[in-house]
Amino acid sequence: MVVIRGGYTGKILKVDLTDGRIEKEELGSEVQSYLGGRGLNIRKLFSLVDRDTDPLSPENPLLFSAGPLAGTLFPGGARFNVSAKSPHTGILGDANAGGFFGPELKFAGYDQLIISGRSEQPVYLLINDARVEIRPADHLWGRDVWETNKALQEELGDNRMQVACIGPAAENGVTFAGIFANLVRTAARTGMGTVMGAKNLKAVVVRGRGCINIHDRERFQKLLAQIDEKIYNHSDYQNRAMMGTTKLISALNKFGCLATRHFLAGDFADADAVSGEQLAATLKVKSKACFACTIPCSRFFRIPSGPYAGLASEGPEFEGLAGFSSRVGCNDLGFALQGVDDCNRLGMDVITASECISFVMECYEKGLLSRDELDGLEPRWGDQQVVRELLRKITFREGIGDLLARGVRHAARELGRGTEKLAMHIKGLEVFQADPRGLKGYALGFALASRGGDHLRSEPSFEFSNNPEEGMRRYGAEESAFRLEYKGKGRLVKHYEEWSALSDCLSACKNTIVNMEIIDFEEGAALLESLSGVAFTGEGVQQACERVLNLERAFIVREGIRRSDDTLPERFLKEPLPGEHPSKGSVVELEAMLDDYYKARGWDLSTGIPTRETLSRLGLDDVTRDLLAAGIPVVQ
Amino acid sequence: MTKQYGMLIVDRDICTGCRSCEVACSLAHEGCFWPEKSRVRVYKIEADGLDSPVVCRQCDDAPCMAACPTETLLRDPGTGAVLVGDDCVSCGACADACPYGTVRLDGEREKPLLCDLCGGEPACVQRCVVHALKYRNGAGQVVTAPVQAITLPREKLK
Repeated sequence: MVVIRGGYTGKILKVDLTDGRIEKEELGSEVQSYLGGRGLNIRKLFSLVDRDTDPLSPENPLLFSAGPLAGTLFPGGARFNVSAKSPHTGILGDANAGGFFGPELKFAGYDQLIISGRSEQPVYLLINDARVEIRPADHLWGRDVWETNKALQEELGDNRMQVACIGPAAENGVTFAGIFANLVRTAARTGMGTVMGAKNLKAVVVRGRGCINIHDRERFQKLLAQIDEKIYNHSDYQNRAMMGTTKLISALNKFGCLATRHFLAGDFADADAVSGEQLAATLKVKSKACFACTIPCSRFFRIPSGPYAGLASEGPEFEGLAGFSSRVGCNDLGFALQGVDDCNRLGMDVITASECISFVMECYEKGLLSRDELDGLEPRWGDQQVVRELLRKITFREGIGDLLARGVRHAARELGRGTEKLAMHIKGLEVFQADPRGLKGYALGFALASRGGDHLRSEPSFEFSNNPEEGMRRYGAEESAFRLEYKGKGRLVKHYEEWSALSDCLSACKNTIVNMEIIDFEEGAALLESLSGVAFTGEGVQQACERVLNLERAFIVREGIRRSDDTLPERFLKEPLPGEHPSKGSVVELEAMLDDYYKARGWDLSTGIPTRETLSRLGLDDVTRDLLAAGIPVVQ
Repeated sequence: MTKQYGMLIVDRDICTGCRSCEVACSLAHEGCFWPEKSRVRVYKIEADGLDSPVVCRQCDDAPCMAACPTETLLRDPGTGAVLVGDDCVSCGACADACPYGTVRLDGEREKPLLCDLCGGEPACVQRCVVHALKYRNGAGQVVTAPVQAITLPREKLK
């Protein structure tokens, strides 16, 4: 029996919206095997759903988890993870956000919240420490994210209430709707907001007045002091405090890897006008940070003049900023911020939304979509009014918007006429604003990500290091340190996937843990031990991350995913990246990297299914049995 | 002339709203992560980007002390911070008397949460990397976190 003395709250809250039943359960030994956050979610989700579960049915549970670092003084220990079967992709749904909601859930006394069933009427869930209520939300239905947040804080008379809510996009069944906390902190990907909408659940509101204990305070503070030192002396510290992820506009543009006009180019001539540097120099009012973070990478901005005068908000991240600038061919910073703000209020994922729009723009340019089919719109690159109108149409599922409301895979299947080749998705999830042709490790990570086309499952930034000795040491190949090389990328991506899982399981920021390389598995184990009093080793923690990755793989294998799905949109494989820049002419040669990766993982090379031996080594024999029972060939 | 007390200096215009100060305060005083028991509290209006750390002002006339019926609130001779003594009956008079609302009392048997300036080394200040919270000690020296995050390019030019 594992005794948890801190870090974790040790409790799981279960709410059934169909019958209103509310239960609490103890958390136990699974913390050693799955750590928390994303890991704890996949463990539960794997057994709660199967291949036949309809993502929009009451049978699909919605799981919120805040891992052991959430709510502590660890810089960036601010996150929460939401998981369910995805209505957008049909496979694993999983999203993650920062802000203040995750810590508040912990202060209320819960590591995990499992919501099942479906309410007859719109409701919101109020978690006030131990008091948990399901309350009517008819008065909130139809309101946007910002209105909902404001109404709830006013109604409850406490703006320390943390609200995670959905907007109209989710209510209307747009399959890529997110869950929004602190107005803009979004668990955005794979339609977790859509699942919430299908449950008639408008918001989860949390207020926690309790504490999170520490088992060994002295040890924790000693570790924290070392972490602080690393952060403050990090070469990129000031850059991150100034710009956060928005720095990637100019950084990627320099390499020719900035998604420009729907990946027709990798360099955007007007990148400087919409860059993180420009935002910091002009519209930024001050830095903003997530809970207890010492790297204030977000910002509050205000637009003083021009067509978007008066717009003020926290944000954006690189994904939104590039999504509504280079990706749609627009060079107006104010507009890019407005596009992100529209998505935030309507409640949509900026990555998928900007892909839908840029997809339509390319289809229109190539004559694959006519003006009539576009409700009279003429979506030319950079047309601000058209972009905003399309966002509105998607949200309310009008005309062309209805076609796009299930993402580009669905839209292209419906349209046919060769548009499938232009749909920039992997396993149904749209790829973000970096062109993988000039980033071979990222390309492999995209192809493999367990939630579909996604960068946050691995982000192997080591390939920018140009440090061959370290590449040899870490991944057995000097080439692994160079973004345009292939050798060693299988091991590189495996390592970064596990590192990213560490961050998602602990519910701390990936920018801190992985990108800045602030803690590894050993240090993670030490932190966990100091907080919880439960024994952890570096090796054990890495293996837990490996277990999470394999269980997620088994989940999507059960849904039918195989090696042939671990691929990229055809453009990245066949069309040399145009332009005059350091990635000119690149395509991605994926197959040899995939072989390396499967070998490193212990997965079957022909199918991409984890072998029996691998699953057994990770203590997942029950998963093998489950897959075999479903008729899936799990080989020795 | 009144004695120069130590005090926390707040610049709410640059506060990031991260609430590190609350967590650090609770760790220093309660030995765990417990923002609810923090002596510092960040009030936020997210839609407007407003973040206001509200801290004890270490008032010269200390209305909290004057209101205490058991006279158990006393000045720390080192920092001048008002400390809660053993005779506190949790009546809440100090909280009612505080003109800034920085003294909080949670529950009938709780002692008031009063900032003791951590004996002259405020834990909150140590974690405020943008220096929205600074400490000026009795000798007039200003103490900040060990690092300063430069958050606006125009600051760089200074």
